[in-house]
Amino acid sequence: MRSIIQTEKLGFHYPRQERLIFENLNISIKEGEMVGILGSNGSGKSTLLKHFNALIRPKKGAVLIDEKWNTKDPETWLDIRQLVGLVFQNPENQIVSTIVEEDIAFALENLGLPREEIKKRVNEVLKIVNMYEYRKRPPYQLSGGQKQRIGIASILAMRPKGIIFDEATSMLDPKGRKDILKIIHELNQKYGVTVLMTTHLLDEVASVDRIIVLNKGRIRFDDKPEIVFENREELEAMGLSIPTVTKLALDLKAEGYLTDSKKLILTKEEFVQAIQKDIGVRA
Amino acid sequence: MNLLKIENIQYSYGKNTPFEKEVLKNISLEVNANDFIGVIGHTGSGKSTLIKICNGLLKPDKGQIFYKGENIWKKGFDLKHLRFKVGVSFQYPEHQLFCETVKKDIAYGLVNKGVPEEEQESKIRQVLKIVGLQESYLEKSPFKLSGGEMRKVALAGTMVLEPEVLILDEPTAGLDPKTTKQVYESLKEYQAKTSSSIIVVSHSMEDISEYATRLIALDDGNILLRGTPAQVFSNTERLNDMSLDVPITTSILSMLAQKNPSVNTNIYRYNDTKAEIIRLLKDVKSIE
Repeated sequence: MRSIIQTEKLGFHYPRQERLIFENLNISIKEGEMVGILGSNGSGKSTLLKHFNALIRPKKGAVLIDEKWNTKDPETWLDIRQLVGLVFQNPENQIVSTIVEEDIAFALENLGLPREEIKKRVNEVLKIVNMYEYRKRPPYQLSGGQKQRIGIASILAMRPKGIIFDEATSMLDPKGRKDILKIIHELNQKYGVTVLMTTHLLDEVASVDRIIVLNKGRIRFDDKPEIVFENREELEAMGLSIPTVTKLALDLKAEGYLTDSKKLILTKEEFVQAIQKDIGVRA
Repeated sequence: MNLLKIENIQYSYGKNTPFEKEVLKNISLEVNANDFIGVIGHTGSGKSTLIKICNGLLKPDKGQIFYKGENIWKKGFDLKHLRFKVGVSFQYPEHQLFCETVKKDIAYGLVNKGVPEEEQESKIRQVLKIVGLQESYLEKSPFKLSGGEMRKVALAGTMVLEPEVLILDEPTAGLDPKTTKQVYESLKEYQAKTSSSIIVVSHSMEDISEYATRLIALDDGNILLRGTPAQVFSNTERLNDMSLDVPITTSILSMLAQKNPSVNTNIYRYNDTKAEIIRLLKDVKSIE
């Protein structure tokens, strides 16, 4: 499988500061994957993500995009940023125009695409994020979740292979959060977009393909969720946690229940199933 | 007597302009000592405006606000004094840090309040302990701290003024699970020491369900639901209509209740949820 993002012995420190934010990171994100990155506040997650579309360049080691572009080479930056989009926490920070469809057309105009092509892409991406009816509205009239959908649409319009979501749901209300998560999954499953996401809400990453845990500047885990979340004590010591259902299932197990379920429980459905099974065994 | 009383508040932004928007329609609320009130509502429902109304940063178009029985908008009322008594910590308060040391930043409000220097020191040490930072932080630059530590410093700067009503807008957004817990625990500790009332605005139904004793759910400028968390979270459908949700614990219990009618779905805290599921599993055993 082709690597969309690959780091080789990546290290970073801020100017005039000795302390390394991270060092010797070897990460490979393959085309079509959905990967969650976890780490406590100050673990260097956001700094790492900014390396992936050349907003920050490595102090040590290298970042290779799509197996051909080294982020150290300024000539590649435009290509890289079209290939890997970045969605931030606060949607307000990425909206530039006064009308939704103009906002999405903005980057495409900068690319010098023909008018017809721009129109086609704008309509296409607005439909993907379910915001087509809002295309003539000013962004300030939208809710936080809707603004975030516009942010995603403007990145989609560039037809990226990968999108990085840096805590893209942390400022949204429960419905906004659900909508964005649904779109993220759809982009990955239906359109094959490679997804990289960070979040502090562990329930959001229970269903990704792989989780990378950063701790003290190193990769502590890089594995499937059901394997990473086995390490509850260690994750908690790092300031992280595990999904609520997983915690509940483990706590019940510790008290002698759910002894039949061997696999780590990650979803509400699995949890209810395990309880019903336990009831069946007991009755 | 209640600390704050808000009666039939109505407020519009951009009054008498083409952009006029009615943000609060008819809000009434009483805040008593030792209350821990959770405010939930979708983005744009009026939560942040309500906060600004509470400490007199915005003047309502209609309705009245009383602080300990005194109308805060009557002539001669000391609004500056009110803002020491009703402390607000806005979203991302760490963006408002600006002094060269943590100590100076926390002391900033105390200096403005006119607290003598000798008293400042002990007050600062006290709040530092409440938010869980070591004294070695006092001489550090706030800008060299991690996001979570900066949030704690900002919170300490609000707490040190000893407000009787402490209002926080999304105090834990963007914080990792451990820091989130520490922030909520420090709020509880502050409340236990001062009998103050705390109002927290949050999008996390899980956090709010663990700590709040009362909830209000705002929608389109009105309070549509209010009561204990159990009362409010018993309205799954109405909450969903308001772009809100029940905590994941309540939703698990609802799923279990479909097959096991004895399950009490009126539970929201983690430990109570665990106990209820154990009860269900034990019951089965005893039937046998």
